[in-house]
Amino acid sequence: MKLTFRDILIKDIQMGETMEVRDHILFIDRKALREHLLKDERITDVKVDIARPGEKTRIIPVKDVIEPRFKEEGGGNGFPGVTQKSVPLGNGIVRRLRNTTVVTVGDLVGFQEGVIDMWGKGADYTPFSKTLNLVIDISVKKDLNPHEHEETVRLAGLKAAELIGLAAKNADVDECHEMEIGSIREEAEKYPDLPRIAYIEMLISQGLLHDGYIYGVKSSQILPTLLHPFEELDNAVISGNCVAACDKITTYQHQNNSAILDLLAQHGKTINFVGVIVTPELTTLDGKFKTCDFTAKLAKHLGCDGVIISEEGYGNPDSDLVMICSRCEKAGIKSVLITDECSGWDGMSQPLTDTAAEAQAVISTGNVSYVLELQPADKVIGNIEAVKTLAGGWDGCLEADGSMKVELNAVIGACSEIGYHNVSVALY
Amino acid sequence: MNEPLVVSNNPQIDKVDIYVEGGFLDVLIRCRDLVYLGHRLLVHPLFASIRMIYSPLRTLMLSRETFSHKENQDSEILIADAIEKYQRTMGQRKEDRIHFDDYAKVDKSLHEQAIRELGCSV
Repeated sequence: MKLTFRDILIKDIQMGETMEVRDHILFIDRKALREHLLKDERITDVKVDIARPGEKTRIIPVKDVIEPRFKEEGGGNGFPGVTQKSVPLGNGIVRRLRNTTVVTVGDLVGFQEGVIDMWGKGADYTPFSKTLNLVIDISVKKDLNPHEHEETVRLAGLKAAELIGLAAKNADVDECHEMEIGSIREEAEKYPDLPRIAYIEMLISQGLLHDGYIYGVKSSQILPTLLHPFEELDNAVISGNCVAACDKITTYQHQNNSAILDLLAQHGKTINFVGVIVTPELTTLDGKFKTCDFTAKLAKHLGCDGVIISEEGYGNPDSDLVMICSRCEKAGIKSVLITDECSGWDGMSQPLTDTAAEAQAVISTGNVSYVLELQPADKVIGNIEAVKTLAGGWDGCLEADGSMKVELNAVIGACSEIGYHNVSVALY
Repeated sequence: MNEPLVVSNNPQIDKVDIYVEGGFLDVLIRCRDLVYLGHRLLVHPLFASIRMIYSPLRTLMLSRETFSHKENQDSEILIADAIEKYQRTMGQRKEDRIHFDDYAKVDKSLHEQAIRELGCSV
């Protein structure tokens, strides 16, 4: 497959008469955007706002973050299988509005968290404090059931990104990135001596607010499946996950999956990157055994020498993570795990809920329990009441001046288990 | 498979075999008792995110059939670890009872997903 990114570097977002890019400024036609989204009769109102880096603005509670793009060539504009008919992805030319996101907010449930602070200490911990964010707050009819509500807001965000992405169609391109990877056989013939490495990407797949989608198919309905590395980078995978703010993989992070990008950078040099195995994290134990067995079998069948495994979430997914690791290692496949930790305020507790002797090479993406102090915002986009949920739960977390202590687990992308975040590790 | 044993403190769950008065930890402890009697865990005791671990509600399923201690060690270890991790994760936190109804909805949905995975008709 050959995939080319043509990037338009955006320096500001402003409201305008039409959806276009001029002098690196993205202009949003708010009226057209609202009209487009209100075509879905389940939606009663759409509020549109902008959050820029450095502003004392808090966005909460965040549902998803999406990069607006336009597929210039290769078919499949938008999100095939979801907003458009399904077509194979991973080939063609994609125009990206870089440094720009669509953020959907609005609580589907009252306990939903996920904050993006555009300034201060909180900004240090989310990658989306540095992007220009077009924030969309969707209100829906009151008689929708929770699944309908979630689907409505999910689709609205994707449709918004698709519409805004049209502004890239005629814009001047600043940068171009080309990638090409042949079939598994072709690459093995080109690089016979390089170790064959697969990336195993775990997705929460457990029900309401806990789903992912591959070409529009709910991840809880699949067995582990093989994707070409370019497919996810080309909008094949979207997020339906509204929990796990710190380590959920937003749609933006799927589109720019840093684990895939880093492996691609090494392809043909130190490794032969054979593909991405997307594997669901199911709820039942039998489901977990089945998917973990299947994942290890796929890796073995691909002839992998090693795998990189990333997790999504915390708690029961830890069992999947170590089971996949254990099965791969016993099959002679070296494994490296990427996961965050829940190690308590002092960082001293056992980081995962499960362990395996074979899990020897583990990259930590941060301690989700680390306590952060956030200052009061001048502006809150979303639900100001959600701020109380963010800092709830223990005595002394709310100060009289409005500042509050929160754990990193409330901050979007703070401990991203695919490494798309701002935290690093030190080896002691 | 045989119908599972449903253990829950969630008032929104329709068919519950053992209703537990109390919070999430009380459900875990009740399940631990059942595991020690030989029932096998069918669902992982913990949710998939920190925020859900603050839930006051939890619905779990175990086998109706009982197994020997030797056959059931995996469930014994899993439930004991889950209780310890739950307590460590909660730390000084209290359960989030402010959003009781929302947690009930989500717990119910996750339970329904688990039922579909098990292929049973509870």
